[in-house]
Amino acid sequence: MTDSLDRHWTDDSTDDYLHGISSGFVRAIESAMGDDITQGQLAERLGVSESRVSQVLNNPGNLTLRKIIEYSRALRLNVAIVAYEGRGSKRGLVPPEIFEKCWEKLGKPHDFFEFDTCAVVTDSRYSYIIDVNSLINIVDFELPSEGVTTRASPMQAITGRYRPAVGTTGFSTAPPWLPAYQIPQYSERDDG
Amino acid sequence: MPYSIKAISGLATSTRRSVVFLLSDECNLDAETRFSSMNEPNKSRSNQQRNVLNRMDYWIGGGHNDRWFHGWPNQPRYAGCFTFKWNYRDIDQRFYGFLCNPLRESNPRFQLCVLHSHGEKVQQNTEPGFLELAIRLSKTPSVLKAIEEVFPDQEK
Repeated sequence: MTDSLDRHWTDDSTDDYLHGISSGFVRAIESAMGDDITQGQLAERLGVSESRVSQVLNNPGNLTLRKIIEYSRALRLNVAIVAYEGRGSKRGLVPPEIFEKCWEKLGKPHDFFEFDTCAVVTDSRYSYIIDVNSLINIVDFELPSEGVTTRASPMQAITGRYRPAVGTTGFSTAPPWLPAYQIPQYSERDDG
Repeated sequence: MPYSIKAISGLATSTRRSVVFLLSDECNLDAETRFSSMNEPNKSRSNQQRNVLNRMDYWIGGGHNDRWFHGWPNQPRYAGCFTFKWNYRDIDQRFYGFLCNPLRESNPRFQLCVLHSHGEKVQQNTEPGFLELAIRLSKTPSVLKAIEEVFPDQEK
């Protein structure tokens, strides 16, 4: 095994990398099981022994794509395989939950048409799912605390580039041009 | 100096969190020894160590998973203590440590998890000796100095 402080451990070998991404999948499985589905119940759905399920969840390094699909289907989940830039980053692998949250924040689009017309804008309290077409009318808008007019294209709004920071440029109330459709923002909390 | 800090090779880097081991010449702090012994010489990394590294990475990235790690935020006395959890050969394993903010001036949001001991969890409740040791170490001047040497704070 090559040891280095200059690179992430999953870059040391294919097996390390495989274990890294498989662990992310196991988190998704365990999260879907929650407190409602036991390993025994999952084993029953899969037609395997409970010890086999336990073995996979505790040591996911030997997961195959077929097994990933079988476990996902047993829990009524879909699977996406995402290849993304950033190989060799010392920051390591992007957890699959990040991709999932990005998808959720965009309103869970299933095709590119939905992606084009759906966006989420976040202020200091809520995320708002909005129709991009309505943004065409607000290419010039004012950030309240800065007192300046900012020019933003619909696409910039989609990427969240003008997302106001809490306590600085944040909207104290919902901007009037946003529709009433609100979803609570995922709350940040620190363990320990 | 009786204490020193050892970085964990290959762990994810972040400006928000990091994990290190605390070593000592004087008392038996076995977390690092246990971590290193997970791998056999000249062999590829063990699945056990991969499991632990995955858990550390996930915490560093801001993830939440009580099955992988947790603190004791509801117990004021142990609020600064922290543990990483995994299972090896059907026995629950733990690394115990404490959280601190060594960069109070330059990066106050930065959290460091300093792991000192390994334990096998064979009973429902955590052995309080590990947590008491974590508290004591987190207040020991020579431990704080060892942390400061590796994470020197600088004013903005």
